[in-house]
Amino acid sequence: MPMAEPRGLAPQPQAPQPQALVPQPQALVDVLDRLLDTGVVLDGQLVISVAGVDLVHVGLRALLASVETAARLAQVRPETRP
Amino acid sequence: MSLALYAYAALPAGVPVPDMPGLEGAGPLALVTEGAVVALVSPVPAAWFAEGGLASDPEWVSRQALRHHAVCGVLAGTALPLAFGAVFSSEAPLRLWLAERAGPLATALTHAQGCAEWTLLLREDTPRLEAWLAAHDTELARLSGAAAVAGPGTRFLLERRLERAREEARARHLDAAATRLQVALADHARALIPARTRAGMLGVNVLLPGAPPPSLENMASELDATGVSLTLSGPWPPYAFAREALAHAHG
Repeated sequence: MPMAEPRGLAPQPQAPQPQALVPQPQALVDVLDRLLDTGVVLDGQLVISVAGVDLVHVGLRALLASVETAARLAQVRPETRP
Repeated sequence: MSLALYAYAALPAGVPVPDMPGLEGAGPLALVTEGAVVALVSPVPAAWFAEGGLASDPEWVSRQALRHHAVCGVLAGTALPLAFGAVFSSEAPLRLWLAERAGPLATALTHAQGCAEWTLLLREDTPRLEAWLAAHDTELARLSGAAAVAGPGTRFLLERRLERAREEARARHLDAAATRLQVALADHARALIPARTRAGMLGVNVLLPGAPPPSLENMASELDATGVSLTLSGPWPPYAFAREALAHAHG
């Protein structure tokens, strides 16, 4: 399965000089990319895609967009309460 | 409400049930033993994973995937983690699934004991890599020298060749770096799985009993001088290794 690009939740500044080889923080996108393989496998048979999208190809982007939207809405919601 | 069994990981016999919650809203973690292989499961409503169920909600999936990951993280060095969404309608099909893969699962579990998975990826900085290749690749130097002194028609054709040669040289350089990476890790690794990202980045998933070898630091510096950076991610539960092992363990 193709993997997602490594990236943090926040934009990573480009380092101008060589960096030591230290493990990158495990971002949500990396965790999801590793865990969401083919979809729901029922009794060993693939039955449906997870989150209703084809995760192997473009679905992860849609999923993340949706997660980011949810996170943003969650941040906004308290301010809109009376 | 019909219940199904959600499976997190395969374990060797004798490992206690982790004292932690599983998926949000699921029943307690439990073990299902089939011969020498054990599955860590928890009961969940079957409707979650039916067509149009909660598994179609990205926000829910994202949250639950992190719970799955937390369970697998606690079992680091012991378990073979499954991908998110492995559901069994009852214990009988789970036992059958385990029994059909008993040999490969036991072998993979033996390999994974005490190990973590690390991912190393090669990321090219295209302008820097092209500059390095222009200075070090004799064929590119020859073509660009010839193009510089040629008339307009010949130059056009030589530049087309140069473009292709540049692409090929980049691909060769990255392939060679990936091979070098695999060779450097071969003596340390219990398993090596070549990796390729969606964007075509090359790398390797490696199952290691300890930290990645310090010699990789030198390789990272040398590659960096050519315009290629080496990124390291880990330690992970061995998801890629488990996927590879199960892909070859037919059921």
